[in-house]
Amino acid sequence: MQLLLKRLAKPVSQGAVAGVLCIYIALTGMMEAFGEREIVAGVLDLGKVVLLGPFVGLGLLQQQAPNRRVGWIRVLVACLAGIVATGLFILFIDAVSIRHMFTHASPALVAYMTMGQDALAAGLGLLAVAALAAGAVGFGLALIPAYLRNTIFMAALLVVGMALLSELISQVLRQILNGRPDRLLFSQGALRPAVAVIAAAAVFAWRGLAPRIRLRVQDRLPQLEPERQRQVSLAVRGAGVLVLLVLPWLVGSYLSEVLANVGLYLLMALGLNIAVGLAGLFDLGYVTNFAVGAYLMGVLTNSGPQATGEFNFWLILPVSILAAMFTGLLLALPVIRMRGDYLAIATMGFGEIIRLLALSDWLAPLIGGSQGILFIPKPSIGAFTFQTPQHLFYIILAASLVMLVVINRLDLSLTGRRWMAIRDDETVANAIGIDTTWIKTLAFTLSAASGGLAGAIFASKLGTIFPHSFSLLISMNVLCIIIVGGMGSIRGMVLGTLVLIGVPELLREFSEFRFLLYGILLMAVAIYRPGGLMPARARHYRTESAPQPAGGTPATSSSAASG
Amino acid sequence: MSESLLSVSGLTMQFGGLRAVDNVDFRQETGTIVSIIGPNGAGKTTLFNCISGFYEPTEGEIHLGEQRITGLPSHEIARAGIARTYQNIRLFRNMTVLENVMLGQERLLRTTWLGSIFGTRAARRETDEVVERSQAILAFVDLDSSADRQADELPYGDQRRLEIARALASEPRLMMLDEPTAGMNPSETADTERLLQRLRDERNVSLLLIEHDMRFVMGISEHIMVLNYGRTIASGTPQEIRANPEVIEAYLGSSAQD
Repeated sequence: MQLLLKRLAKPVSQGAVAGVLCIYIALTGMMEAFGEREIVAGVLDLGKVVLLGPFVGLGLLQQQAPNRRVGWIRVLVACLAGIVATGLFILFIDAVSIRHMFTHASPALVAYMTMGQDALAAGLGLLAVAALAAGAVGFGLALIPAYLRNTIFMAALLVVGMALLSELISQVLRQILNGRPDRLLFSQGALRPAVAVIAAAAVFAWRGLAPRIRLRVQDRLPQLEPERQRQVSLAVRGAGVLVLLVLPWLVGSYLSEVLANVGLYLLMALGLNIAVGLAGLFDLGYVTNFAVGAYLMGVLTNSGPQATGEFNFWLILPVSILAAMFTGLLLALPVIRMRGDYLAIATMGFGEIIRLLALSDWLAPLIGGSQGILFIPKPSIGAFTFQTPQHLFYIILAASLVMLVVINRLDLSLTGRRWMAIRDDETVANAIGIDTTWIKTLAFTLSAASGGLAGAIFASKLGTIFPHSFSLLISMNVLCIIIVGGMGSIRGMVLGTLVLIGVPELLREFSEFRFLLYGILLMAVAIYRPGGLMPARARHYRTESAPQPAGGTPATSSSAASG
Repeated sequence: MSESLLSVSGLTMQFGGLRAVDNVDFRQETGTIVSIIGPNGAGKTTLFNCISGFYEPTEGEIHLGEQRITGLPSHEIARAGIARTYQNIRLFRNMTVLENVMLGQERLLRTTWLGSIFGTRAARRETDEVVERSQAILAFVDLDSSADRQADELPYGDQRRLEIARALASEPRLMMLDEPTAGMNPSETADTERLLQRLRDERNVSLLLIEHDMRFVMGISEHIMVLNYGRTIASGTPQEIRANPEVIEAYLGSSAQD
């Protein structure tokens, strides 16, 4: 008896956790809000996904069961525990009103969680059956081969993703094709069932063919002559840039705005990545550089009450970058000897100081205090003004591409090696001859440059700036991008910005739950992918002279013979 | 008097009430292998840390050739030509084997951050040279097949050799090795002995060792210094040290009986 209890303790506790998760999601109002969002028309809504998702998870968790029979028993026990927890909760909020504390614990919630059945008992029974089925599906997924399981996950992700991004997809389709082609795919934002099936089938087909295609490319690419290889890589990059160039006109004004914001955050992430990702310096005050760039641009170009010179955007852009670098240098001096946590707290202080300075009455005559700076002109070349989000996108794209090239060079350079050495072991880095104080100061200074650039463009893009735009939250967001994307990984920065800045903008119907999702994502990354979504890869170096083919040209054969 | 490579005079390192190193004097000539031995806590590693600039000595002077290096920051001491390894291996763990050796060449590099950003021809050529030299050094310590592996993936003995390779990469005048054979079996110890002799004979590096393995020390050193409680209690050739009664009492006492 005792042994049995011991064996059941784990699945029961897992089930209880799943139940608590369901209750939590319900009480925050997520379940109801998501319940109004259909994924597959008439079949599935997002609320059901979050209601039954934890039970699928319970099934998946039993993967380590010693054998199938034990596994099924554990799934059953865990799901029953979860059902009991959820069921008791439903009965409780049905009987006792706790709405004065939890506004979402309403009869509507009870109705939703009991699958819209009139009789409570029938509803609970249906929920139990659905939860058990979800657990069985989860365990079924745990039993099949990993490649197939991942394919199923991808198909599910694609269907959910397509439904959530229906607005974006419709927009693009309408730009390309005439009429309303999106009506074929969606009905009120939800995928039509046939489309969902086709999308899932497409994922299966792709996953079936992908390994073969990859093999063929891998076989053939190295056989091409170097000249040809360079052409291929150039063509791929050219196509990429071309897509980026037409993108704003394809996706329309609102999404160009989103892309512009993504670009600004990408600039900041690339900059902060020098300090945090490469040199390992935890800077929590990155917003300082953003604010310096923005305020300098604002003060020197605006034509409002704070007008000081009304200089040209293009003149002030480099000045803003230099000013941010100078601020970075100045702030680095007092904190450069601090390590780890101490550095993080000190820099966080700087971030707050700059916001309070911007708010202060003392500087108000110059930078507007809480009134901010108004009438900052948009950038212009001759008679052409970068007025719309689509126009501004190009400035941000150009800035991002330049920064990507610069950061990529630094990442592979000897200077980049020095930063990484400091990150790995500062004492030893010093003992092999690296002037760590100077190299760390350099990391802060260069890291600030990109933040200043982003700030300057931000000020001009918005036309007005206020102190509250420069809160601690910006530093945190940028740091989250780096952690989620992958510290020290440039591809990771791009992906991290798209995931953390781009996707939430597209899902603005759920904007109340944005930070909840941030938290979940951050925890999931910390647990399952500690290196980030796209971890930094090892840098491999090849010299051009090293891989000499046998019987090289006569000019080099003598050196090859001696070497 | 001939020009010494390293000369330490009256060196004292005081931590609160503890004199970890107490008025130590010694000289090392170019091209020699000198060992420092002594029981645990005798002040050997503290002496190393003073020479490499981790600690600023309380009293005394350290010269490398003509140059006074007492109290300089450790990167300047490294630039003067002293490289070292550590008792508990300290590699750049998250970087590749090749990158570790590339970093070792820091004191020879001229590339600045501006060169790195603009990818100047000089910077690119220097990177190529650094990579080539690193590959040659890895071949010298027989690690060339592991160049692209991450440093902390290497087996223990290879990590020790990589640390020596990183130190060697700076083309040092003096290499200080803190217990290079710690944790090694007899055959690995013999390999290390051969490697150190090759370092001196083929690369003209002078070596200053801290070591516990007596057979190894007696075999490889031209000169041995014995520390106890921070003081030098004996100094001389291996034969002299073996015969010194004070040393036998302080340090070799137990092992002399077998």
